[in-house]
Amino acid sequence: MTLVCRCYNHRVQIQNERPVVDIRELTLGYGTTPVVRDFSLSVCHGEIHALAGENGAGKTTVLKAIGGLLRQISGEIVVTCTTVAGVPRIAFVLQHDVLPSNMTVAACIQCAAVAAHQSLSYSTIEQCLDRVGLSIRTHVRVATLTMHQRQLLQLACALASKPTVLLLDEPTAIMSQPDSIHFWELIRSEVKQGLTVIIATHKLEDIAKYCSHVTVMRTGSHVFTRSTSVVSLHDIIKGMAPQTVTEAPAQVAPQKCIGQHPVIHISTSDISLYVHPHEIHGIAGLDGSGYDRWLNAIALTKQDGICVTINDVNIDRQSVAQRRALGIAYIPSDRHADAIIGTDSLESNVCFGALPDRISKLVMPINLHKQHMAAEAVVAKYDVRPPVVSAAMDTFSGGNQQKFVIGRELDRMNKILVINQPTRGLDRSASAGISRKLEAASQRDKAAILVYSDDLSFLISTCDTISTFSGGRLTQTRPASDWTEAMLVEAIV
Amino acid sequence: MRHIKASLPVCFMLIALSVLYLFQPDVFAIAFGSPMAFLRLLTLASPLLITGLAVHACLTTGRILIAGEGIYAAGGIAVAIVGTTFADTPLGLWAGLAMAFLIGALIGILISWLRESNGVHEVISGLLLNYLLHLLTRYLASSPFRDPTSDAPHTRELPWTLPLFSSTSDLNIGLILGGIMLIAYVYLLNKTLLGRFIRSLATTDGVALTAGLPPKRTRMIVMALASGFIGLAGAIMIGSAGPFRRFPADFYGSGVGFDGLIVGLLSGSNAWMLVPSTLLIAGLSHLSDALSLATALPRQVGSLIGASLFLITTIVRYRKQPRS
Repeated sequence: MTLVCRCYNHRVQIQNERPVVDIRELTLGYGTTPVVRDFSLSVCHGEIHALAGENGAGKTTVLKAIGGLLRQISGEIVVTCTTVAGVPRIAFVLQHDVLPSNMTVAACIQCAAVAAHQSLSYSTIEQCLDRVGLSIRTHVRVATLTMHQRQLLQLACALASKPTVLLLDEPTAIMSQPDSIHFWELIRSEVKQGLTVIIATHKLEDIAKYCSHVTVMRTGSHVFTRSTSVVSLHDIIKGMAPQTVTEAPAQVAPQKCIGQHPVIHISTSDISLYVHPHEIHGIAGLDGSGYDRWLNAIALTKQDGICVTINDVNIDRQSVAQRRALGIAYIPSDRHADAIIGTDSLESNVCFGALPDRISKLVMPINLHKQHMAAEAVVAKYDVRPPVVSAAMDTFSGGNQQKFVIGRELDRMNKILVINQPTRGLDRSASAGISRKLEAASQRDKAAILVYSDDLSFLISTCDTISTFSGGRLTQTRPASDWTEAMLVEAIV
Repeated sequence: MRHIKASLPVCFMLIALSVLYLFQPDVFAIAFGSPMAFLRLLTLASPLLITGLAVHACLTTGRILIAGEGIYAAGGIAVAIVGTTFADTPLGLWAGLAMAFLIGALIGILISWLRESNGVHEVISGLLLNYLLHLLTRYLASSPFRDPTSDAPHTRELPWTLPLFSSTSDLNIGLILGGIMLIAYVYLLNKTLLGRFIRSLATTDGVALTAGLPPKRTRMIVMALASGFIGLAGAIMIGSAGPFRRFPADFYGSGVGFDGLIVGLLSGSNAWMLVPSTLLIAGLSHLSDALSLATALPRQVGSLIGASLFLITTIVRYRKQPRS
């Protein structure tokens, strides 16, 4: 018995057959340019199916098409329910949350539950939040949540809609390691209860450890689909980008800063942190550990109890513009809100990031040729894909947007760089590329770089020194070569 | 679709004119068939262009300037009071215009400060201020600054008049001011880095903040300038020849502030569209007069047509986008 109905842009068959999601010769694109070509995939009931690929490989585009957010150019997506009575429900946790900022947490979950024809009490909503590891009050507004909390709230909303298929786009990109473990435990328990999960992720270790199947994509094409029990990480990496397999691992940078006068000096009443020229100083810490106050104290505004001097000049009272004039560049973690305008083209976004050195330049006509050349240079140097500078930023994948933002700031040759989550949404190859570019910036421009990342292996491989934050305080500072991932986890948890 | 939306005011204008010419040639002749009629249309359009542009500038930063009507009246009473108080000094004219701009800017700063620092929505504070300014201007014109020699409640006549383009119409320097403002505004918005940062405020504060441009202060400055220019438009209207040159107690309600809101909204993201939008709304107002003269239809019919067009345009422009 087969019931066929139209649901957004794909056919939904309710029948007693597997697979749950069957994609046949799918071609997808933004406008008339195809991004994914002749892509086929079958996902069976109860699978945790990973989509792996470099930034721009088309993972998010495929998820958007399954979720009904993007109409296919050609091909077919068939979503099949496992029971005759059931109606297939697809929930989608996007990489960048789309939660309305003026709504409360409870209202978001209640709205999601409407899809499952349910009305949830406050106690049930609290249980939903507990389940995803979100310890916040139900009446709190979305606008006040951190990115990490919004991500978990999206997941809580998705699960509240009682989906049969759950689509996840880089769900653990902004999660710390303990949160990530909790997340995977939750997904596994949901799968045992009948959920099918398709997840796009760059964390290959997670794929090997938690997923049942993996589909590798490269430049919009299907490379292979295998069970994770028979495929190695090497095979996945080779499938994603053959040229990166032979790439030498990033070297731990030598100690270059001993004896130099520090550029950045951040101090509280009882502890200080110094960053020297040529130094890449890493910061590790969980959300709420207080690291963000230290970054903001340098890049944005004064924070209570924190004093910042740059080249022996106190900058606590200086405006953001004055800080940029001192050569302090800032790459925020939330690139969508703080670094780019999604509806503007990539080349228009080149001019954001910092005000010009002279205010008069603000009202002078923009040199469009110069802007175009600058955009082309960033795209070429940082491998932003697709290399179309006239395309709107929203049409680029999260990882490529990140590459563009980092490239834009690194190319300005600032003396001080404060970077929050540089590798968020980036694949291994791109992360290694960013690592090399930071190293080059510290060497070439004598830049002092302060970088926070929850990717601990990136910190260890990239930084000269790593400081850890815990309980709102700076706890330890050691050379990166003295740290291991296990030691860092122990220090920050 | 974007181009269709952008050209809506032009399309409406052309369709309306064609229909009028075909079915009501007499009305068309009264409304647009003579140089006099055309000058009258431009006279109506000049304050509308300034208020529409002010609304558009605020919309670009993500704020709605709804208090235009009150600010327009406040600018008018300011020039009337200062101009008559300092009637004997040669600087009375300029002091009056400067005061009108200043009063407008201060009202804009107040609305913006309430929004940016206290979270009071600018539509709420703007509506309440409109009402307050309506009562205040009426009181000032009918009590402390009333012309004692007249039975009608209005201020004394200004001793000077602003230059006019023609002795047979009230077309004044407001048109030049509006034109210069429009060119400067389009240049700033489309060609400069400051314009890009200002436009980014409609989407997010973060980009400007991270770069070092304080979003709240920028919005406050934009709203202050916008309100100041609306005040100036009110002053120019009062300071010109014709029925004004004195501030009547019922000046509030001339409709320029509210029509300016429609002009600003109709123009969408393209600042050049302020010109056809202004001509459309001014044309409708002008047409209402011609209709009431030629067919004895109430003047409100024109307003009704304008409101209907605005509703249709708003639905087309802001309706939910289909899935791409």
